Amino acid sequence: MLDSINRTVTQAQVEAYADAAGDHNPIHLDAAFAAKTPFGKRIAHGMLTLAMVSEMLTSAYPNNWASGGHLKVRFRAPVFPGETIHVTGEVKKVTESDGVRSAEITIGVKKDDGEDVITGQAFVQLD
Amino acid sequence: MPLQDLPAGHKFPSESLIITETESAAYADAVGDTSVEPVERVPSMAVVAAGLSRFIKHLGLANGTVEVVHASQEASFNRPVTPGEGLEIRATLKSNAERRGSRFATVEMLFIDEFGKEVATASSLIVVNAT
Repeated sequence: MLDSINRTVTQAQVEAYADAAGDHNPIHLDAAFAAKTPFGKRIAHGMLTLAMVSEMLTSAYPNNWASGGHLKVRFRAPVFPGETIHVTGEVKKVTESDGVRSAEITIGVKKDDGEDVITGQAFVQLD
Repeated sequence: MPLQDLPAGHKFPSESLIITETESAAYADAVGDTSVEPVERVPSMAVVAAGLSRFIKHLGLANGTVEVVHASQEASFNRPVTPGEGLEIRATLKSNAERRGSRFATVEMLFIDEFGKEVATASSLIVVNAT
């Protein structure tokens, strides 16, 4: 298992992310707008949550994630400000091709109640 | 041109992207990322995030007239990006279809450095619903 990240997402963080990433979609920022959506309230950016996945992979593979890393994920549920999420990664298998070993990692982001937020896989060269 | 009028295969005008030290640090601070020193190396996902935000804006999807949901994401990183480095974003609409009142669009982005090398690629599926 990779070292997990457990973090509570706040509205202030969502607003800081919106400025930093240049994504000011009102579904993340405007409570009145968000109230009219199926979610009923503001949600965190999916890319904010995914940034924590990338952070976990960078911590585990400081050089190889940024140089040769790949991921494929689905966003399963929104994260509402105030919720705590748990980012995990588990190496499912290691393969070798032409003398280069690569790890396939199962990615998961869940809420406290176990609801899936993100599911998917990442691939990182080990050599 | 509105998203619904764009055919699959549409290539968006290329755009330049420079993530400064300040922007890199602001991104790392916002997401709580301490895995890299952001004034030396841009957090990997910051590049993809910047590209996707531009695409959303480019299509007028960030103005509150529609609900945009990010459904899935792929990303590949070939090398770290240095703050201040000039990149070019080449984006292509890979798919664009309406199903059950929602529009599903996939945009592929290539991030190219000054030497013409891909430093990262990304593919984002977004779902657009009228509000």
